[in-house]
Amino acid sequence: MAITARPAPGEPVIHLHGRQLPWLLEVHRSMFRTKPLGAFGAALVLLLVFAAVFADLIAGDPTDTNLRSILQSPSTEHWFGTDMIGRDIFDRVVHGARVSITVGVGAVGLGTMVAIVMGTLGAMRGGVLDIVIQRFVDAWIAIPWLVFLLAAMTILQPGVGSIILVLALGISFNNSRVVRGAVLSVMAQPYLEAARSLGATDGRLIVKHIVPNIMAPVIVVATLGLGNVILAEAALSFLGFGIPPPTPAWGGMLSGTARDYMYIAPWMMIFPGIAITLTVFGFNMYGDALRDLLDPRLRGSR
Amino acid sequence: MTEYVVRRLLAMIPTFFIVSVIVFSMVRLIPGDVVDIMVENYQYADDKEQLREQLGLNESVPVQYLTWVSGIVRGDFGESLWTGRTIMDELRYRLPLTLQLGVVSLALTVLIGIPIGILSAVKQDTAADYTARSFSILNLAIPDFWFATMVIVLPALWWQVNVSQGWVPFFENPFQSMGAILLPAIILGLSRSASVTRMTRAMMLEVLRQDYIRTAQSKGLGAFQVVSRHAVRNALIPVVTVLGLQVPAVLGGSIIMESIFNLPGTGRFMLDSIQQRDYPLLQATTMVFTVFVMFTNLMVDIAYGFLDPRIRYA
Repeated sequence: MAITARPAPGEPVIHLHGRQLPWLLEVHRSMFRTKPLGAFGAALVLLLVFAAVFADLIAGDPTDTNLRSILQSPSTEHWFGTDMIGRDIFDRVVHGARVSITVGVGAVGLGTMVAIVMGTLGAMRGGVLDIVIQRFVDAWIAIPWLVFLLAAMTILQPGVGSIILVLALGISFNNSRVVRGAVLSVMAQPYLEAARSLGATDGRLIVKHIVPNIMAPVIVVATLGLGNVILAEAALSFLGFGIPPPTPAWGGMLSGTARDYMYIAPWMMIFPGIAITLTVFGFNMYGDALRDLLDPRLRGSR
Repeated sequence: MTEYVVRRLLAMIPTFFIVSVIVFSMVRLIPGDVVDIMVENYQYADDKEQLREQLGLNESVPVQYLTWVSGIVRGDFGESLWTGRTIMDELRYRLPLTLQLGVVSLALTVLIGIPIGILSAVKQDTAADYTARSFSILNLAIPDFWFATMVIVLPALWWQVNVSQGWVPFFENPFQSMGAILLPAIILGLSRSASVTRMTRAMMLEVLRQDYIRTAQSKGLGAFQVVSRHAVRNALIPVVTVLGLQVPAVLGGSIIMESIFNLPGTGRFMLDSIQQRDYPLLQATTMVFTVFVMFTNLMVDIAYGFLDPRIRYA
């Protein structure tokens, strides 16, 4: 009887992709049982996503000015007060969640995809390509990140698109190392040897065996990266190099002309800052717990 | 050892040139020409071409690059396009502030991060551990620019106190000098300490499970002795790497702190030079920062050899 690599007709085919949902569900169930801080982080993240998705239902128009009610302190009518041109701070903070999530998911998603390509190519091809990628990563780490971001944002002009692009570049360099390490360790596994000797092409190896098996560390660094990216976007918008007004970006709400009013209307400053803090706190707590559960080897890196 | 250091220093030369090309071209890519800004916004001169020639910007880009690099090799960063002062003189005044801020921030990072990390590992999964970790992640999560703003605004609102002071060189008046940078240094130190805490905790947890720790305990040593003499010393070696990684972050943070606290340091100088398109100034400050990071990376690698005799520089 000939040995075939293909399953016989009628035999169930096990897809790794199909197993991923219950696998992740299981991880979260044990997080809620054993990692109270991680569960708290996850709840904060969920709250943020909720605010971002339903911003239009929860809050009013963030750019709606009302010159009759400027610089009002927090009240039942304006929960977080109003700014110097009568915009409601609560509306702006809620809509700011949407901006932060867009930038975070965009930059981390794009950056992680590039990191997977860079890391996988480097690890599988090796040789000159690997060395060149590694030297570029070294150079990236040597340049103080804020200096690079400021220059890059000045070149590209401030805006949501360019900030996603620039931050994605940073994410891809940082995370390509993790991907490279994970791919190298998968390549040393017997199952990869087995797949290869069954005649699997490189493309099939990558899609079916390598990528599904490096997902755990990738999910962890991506979650932690979301917090960093949101913080970086806030810092850039604060310095006036990020998302230009009137878009309600949390960092931008603390900068520019708003600073002239910080002594008379401190609530203009307090609430966006709390929003950034809770968001970054949530992503880090959640990411740390994911790391403990998914990939103990990564613990403590960075 | 000496051979290793020499080889590492030699390897820095190509990296230095790569970085110099990146910095030079990045600065030229920034839209908005300095001569246009000078003539249109400030009426510095009547004739753009004449001004361009005066500033040395009429040369071709490769020539400008060569002039710049050969200047650096001779220790000459050129002159600011706006003030005409030599950048060396400016740096001589501004670098001490940034270095002082950086060193104090890093010292605070160690003093805050390591003890909390040790405590958190020794008391793993207790209330103390959860509190310590929440505290350190909170420090990471609070944006430094917001924290700094609050530290300036709230005392002024509540007690009419002005917390930002003028900076003077350290040797002129050490107390006033340290007083001016203390608050920004604490803010930077707190925000950077989280990574150090994380690494310390993780390494301590690993070390505390080693056989030699059990040996130390079973020969009757007290808990304090075991932790301080056997565990911490071995756990801290990788923490040095994480500390090295904080250097670029602290330099970035100094840009923000110096602008908020109104300190005349290198970071704020750099921010101004971006806005004014002061090419030589922006190139010089970026190069200084990058070379500084490259040297600290080297020092981290050398420090490894002293801390861990198992590491050999082959």
